[in-house]
Amino acid sequence: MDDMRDDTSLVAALLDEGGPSPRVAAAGREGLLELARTGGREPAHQSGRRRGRRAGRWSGRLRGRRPLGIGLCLVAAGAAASVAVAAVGSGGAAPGGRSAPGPREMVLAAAVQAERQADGRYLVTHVRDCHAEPVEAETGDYIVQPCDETWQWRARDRADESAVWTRDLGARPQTARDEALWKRAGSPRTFPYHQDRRALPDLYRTAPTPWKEDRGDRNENSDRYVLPFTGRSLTAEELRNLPTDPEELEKLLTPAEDSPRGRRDSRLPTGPGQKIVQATLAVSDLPLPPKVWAAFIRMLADTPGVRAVGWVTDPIGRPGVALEAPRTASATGGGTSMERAIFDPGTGALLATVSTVVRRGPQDPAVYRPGTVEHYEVIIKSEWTDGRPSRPA
Amino acid sequence: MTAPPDVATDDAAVIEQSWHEPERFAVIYDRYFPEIYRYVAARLGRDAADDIAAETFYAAFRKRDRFDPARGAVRPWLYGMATNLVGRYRRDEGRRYAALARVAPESRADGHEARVAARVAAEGVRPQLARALAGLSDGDRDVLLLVAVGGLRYEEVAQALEIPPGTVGSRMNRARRKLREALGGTDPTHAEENSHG
Repeated sequence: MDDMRDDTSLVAALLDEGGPSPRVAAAGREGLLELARTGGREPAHQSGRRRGRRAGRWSGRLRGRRPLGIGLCLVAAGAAASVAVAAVGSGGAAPGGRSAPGPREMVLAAAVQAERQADGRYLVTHVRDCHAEPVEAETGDYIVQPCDETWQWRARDRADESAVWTRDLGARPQTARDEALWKRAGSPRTFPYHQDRRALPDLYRTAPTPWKEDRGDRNENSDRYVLPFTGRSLTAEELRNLPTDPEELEKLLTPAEDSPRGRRDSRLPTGPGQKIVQATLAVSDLPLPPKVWAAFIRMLADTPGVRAVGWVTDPIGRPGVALEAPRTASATGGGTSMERAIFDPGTGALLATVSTVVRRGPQDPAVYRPGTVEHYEVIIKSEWTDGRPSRPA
Repeated sequence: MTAPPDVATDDAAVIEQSWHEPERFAVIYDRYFPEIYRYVAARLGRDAADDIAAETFYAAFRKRDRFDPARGAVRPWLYGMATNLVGRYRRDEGRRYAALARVAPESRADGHEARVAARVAAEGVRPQLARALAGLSDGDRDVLLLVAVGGLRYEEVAQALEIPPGTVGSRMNRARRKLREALGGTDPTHAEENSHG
């Protein structure tokens, strides 16, 4: 094995980042002892971090503000975003009676509908996540839109019962203009990661992939549910008893002042649109009881700076009612986006969240322009069942 | 924490004790946290390792009743769990290699002379090496880094990843061949040592 040492020691040297700081080692030990004391339940201040399965989702939302070593709270939240949201099934209620109520009333009416939904033993969710990836070409830069989907089920009450499946849909030019430029560039079938074309020349592809179960995630359903961004986690029992009062709920969804996550949040964008993103992520991984989900919609609707926009269409063409607010990247060079949450008026279910460029920041890709949809997530399905789910259809 | 002579046997005994005295698991933490941290940090950077290294031990703690000494030692078991957790951050790992291929190295505290020598050599071929790492399949990369960074033997890698030893060998050969190809005949090997703390 001697000759092998040369290669492997080079690799080890290249990657070496050293050992843990005493602070990190002590914090981890403290977390372990807390775990031991509580009989195996996850310590609250650590629990959000297990979810980082699909960190890549943030490539759209963070737009590479921190391409390397992304803070885990962000990673965790991004993964949470992959999991569908609502405590209710999405049923395609027709947008009737649109003349009477104003936009805000329509959203609040959706909240009433949410209260009426029934839940079951398992929540099955199917989510699509897409972002705008800039592609450089001599014939003109354009945008492709890579999308991936997550199909997941998890037991409401019992730990260790869950499964996650994922697939890539294949990247496509985002608009007709992008398609024309893509064709002019020779209709390439692979696209580089725009932040490092040489190293990852074909990260995105036009070819889709089949559903694949992430076996590492099988039955990883924790017996505590996590509230990303907040530093809090809940038992199934606590989740059932979450406040149905919007103000009480908001307190729970606001990061604890002294949590490490609170400190990291200083890197996050600002503005009421951030509240939409943050709150949506905070509950997106949770099988919330219907009344709590209703309170969540009311809480968002009552947030200063968040406005109701009435009827809109979600990215896959379903009608819904929406709340939206601007969000500004706090990092230097970040621009402003409009963050929109779209609800099913018939069930109150969250249909989608959409992030649209309002003003491009100096560090944003040049091909982003006002109106470019930089990221969206669609909850294709989110429904309760009593029978144990198996695999995506 | 002073490790008894036969650490492997003792580790298993400690885990068994921790079934009834959960706090005993801290012994395992104290023994292996630094090296698990180093392994995770090598793959995902320190920022991520600050969380994921501890997560590894929390996951191990939760699964401590499933640890079977007949199937191997505690150390590779922990590395297997760390590798599973790292696997959830593949794109971040890819971005780290992308950045290593590009960014000027920061000066990092590094006491060991031989490791410094290896690092100097690595810097010389840094972009090629980082790109080659990014280009490996997930399975090949897991094997390579468990050997290169974790210092695991083939049989321990097999245990950690729950794959046959023969598969470890073939993955390792493939990974090393790709590294060699990427280095394109350069021979930057002044390093003679690959100890890892």
